Amino acid sequence: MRTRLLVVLLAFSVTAVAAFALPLLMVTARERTQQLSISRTADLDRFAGLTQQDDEDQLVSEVTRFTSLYGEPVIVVNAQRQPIVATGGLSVNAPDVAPVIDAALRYQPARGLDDVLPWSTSDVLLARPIGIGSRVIGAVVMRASVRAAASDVAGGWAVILAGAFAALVGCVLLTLVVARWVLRPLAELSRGLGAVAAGQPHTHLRGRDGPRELRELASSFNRMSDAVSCAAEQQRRLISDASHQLRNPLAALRLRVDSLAPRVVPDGQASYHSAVAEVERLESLLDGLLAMAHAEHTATLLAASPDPDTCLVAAVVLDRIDFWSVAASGAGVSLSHGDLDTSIEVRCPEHDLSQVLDVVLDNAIKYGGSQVTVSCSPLAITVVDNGPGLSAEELPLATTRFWRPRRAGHPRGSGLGLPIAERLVTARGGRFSLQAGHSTGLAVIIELPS
Amino acid sequence: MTVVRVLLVEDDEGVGKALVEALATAGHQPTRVERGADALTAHHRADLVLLDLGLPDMHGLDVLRKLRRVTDLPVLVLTAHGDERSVVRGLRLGADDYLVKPVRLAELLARMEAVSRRAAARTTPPPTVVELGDVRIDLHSRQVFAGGELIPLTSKEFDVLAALAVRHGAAVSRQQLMDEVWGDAYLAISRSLDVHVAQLRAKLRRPGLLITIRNFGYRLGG
Repeated sequence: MRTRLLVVLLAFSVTAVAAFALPLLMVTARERTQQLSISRTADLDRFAGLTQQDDEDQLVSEVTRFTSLYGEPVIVVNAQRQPIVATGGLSVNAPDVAPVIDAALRYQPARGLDDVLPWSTSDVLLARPIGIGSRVIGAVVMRASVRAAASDVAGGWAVILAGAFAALVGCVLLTLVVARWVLRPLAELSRGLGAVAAGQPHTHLRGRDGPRELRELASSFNRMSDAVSCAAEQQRRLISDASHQLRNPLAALRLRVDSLAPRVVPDGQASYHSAVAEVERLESLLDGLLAMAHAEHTATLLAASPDPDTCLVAAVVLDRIDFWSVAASGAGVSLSHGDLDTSIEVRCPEHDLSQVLDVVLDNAIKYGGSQVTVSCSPLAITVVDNGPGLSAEELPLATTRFWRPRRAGHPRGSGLGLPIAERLVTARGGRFSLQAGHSTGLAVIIELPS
Repeated sequence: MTVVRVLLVEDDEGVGKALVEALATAGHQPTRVERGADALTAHHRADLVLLDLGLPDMHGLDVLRKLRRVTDLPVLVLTAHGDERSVVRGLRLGADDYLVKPVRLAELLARMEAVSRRAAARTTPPPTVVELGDVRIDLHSRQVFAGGELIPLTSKEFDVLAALAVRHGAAVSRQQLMDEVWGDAYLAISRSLDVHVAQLRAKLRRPGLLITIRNFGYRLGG
């Protein structure tokens, strides 16, 4: 937009300046030419007058003086083309002079002078018939130099062009100032929108510069930004509050159910275990909701001010493998690590990376076949299993909230684990992706900035 | 199991009643108070405090801080999930352990027992041999056996393990470990602790024996 605005405004100013300057240049040239023509015509008239009075001595002395003074040759002839006086080497028979003398003797009107331009150098021939009544008694011809006039015109043009250039520079400066005035609030607005899109809460524009319309837009933007931040905050708070409020009844329920365990009659055992399983599901759902709200909150905070906290990937991976290996061996899954680069530090606190790995390892042990391998390279942490994996349609859905694969015989999860993991990783400026394994299974790839 | 006089500081009616009944059924003597101020006067008649952090009159951590000024009584903190910051602050303020609500009864009883046992051990001199499952740590001869087999450890690895073993079952902060092993609680290269713990785990090959407590430190055994 800036380029286009500048091009349009500059094209307009160039046209406007040219529209003033060009006619001015032509007028200057014409005016000087006329001046030249008038002064030389007066000289010719004087010589013609002397010829008419038949005052030959006077004529010769004036013509000679004129030529010596101005360096412009003159020739005066009678009706028979005999020169009365000739100075400066001008000859009756010179190829350019002869037709001019003939034309003057025939009373042919002389052609006006061409406009003198700064680069004109060729001399011009001026002629005038001399007559008494209707009879031509001779002609006077002068070879006038245009050099002085050309240099005057050049001077005039230089002044005009300098003025035009100054006007153009002024226009360019004005254009730049106007473009900046209009575009700066727009650039600020665009930065603000970027910040809102990145989740930065309460982004505000100063909105003090620019046209009134843009200032109003900036204040509307500020109101919108506040509204968006408020809505996001309220949503997060609602989830967090609801989860907290559910925590106590659920804790009580859990204790009551556990206390019942030794007192359940054999017939009721099946129902009792189902009830315990449902309580556990409620617990994991509650944990998931809280973790989700927490991850969203962290993401909002990080958008406002990045956290420089780092952790050693290999240490966290080993820690989590150690933690999950009990559950893994219980489920008949072999949990191991592949290549672990021990030097890699990533810009993500240990706590968040642990939480992400917990989600991924939990899923892998529950749904991922008999072999789970964690490896880390400088580029990414990869968790690969040899389970049934996910189909191409399911892969992109797996990180949406409350999505669970529709398969029989699967333990039902909360559907919040992968979305939480993804949110945590993206909040740290990383990438969380799911891919089909080489032959079978699922590969989870966690990329974090180092 | 010994009978423990439990002071339960919990304002929620449902959780409080359920806990009192469950603890009584398990053979303990629970007393419930609802306010932090009451906890500060009732702790004389208790062997162990179960402290909820969300109390109506003051924050649970303030109760803990005030309790710690006057008594060494074992304190178990009850906290909400996702409130790791409170957990870490609780442990720093001298809580013996923490439990995340909702908690399983079996886990609650096991932790209570571990905490009471440790409290009792405070008055006796530190052990020279610590046994956890089939892992035997001889602090005197600086030798570790797992399943009867001698595990070769470097000197620093043993120091880390020993620092955890004398407080087994309790959370030990990173600062405490670094201070005891490296003589510097705020070691610039604190990553070396992570590396040593990772090596210890690899050599012991007893998953779940050495537990990380996020943002705080480690615990040996449950």
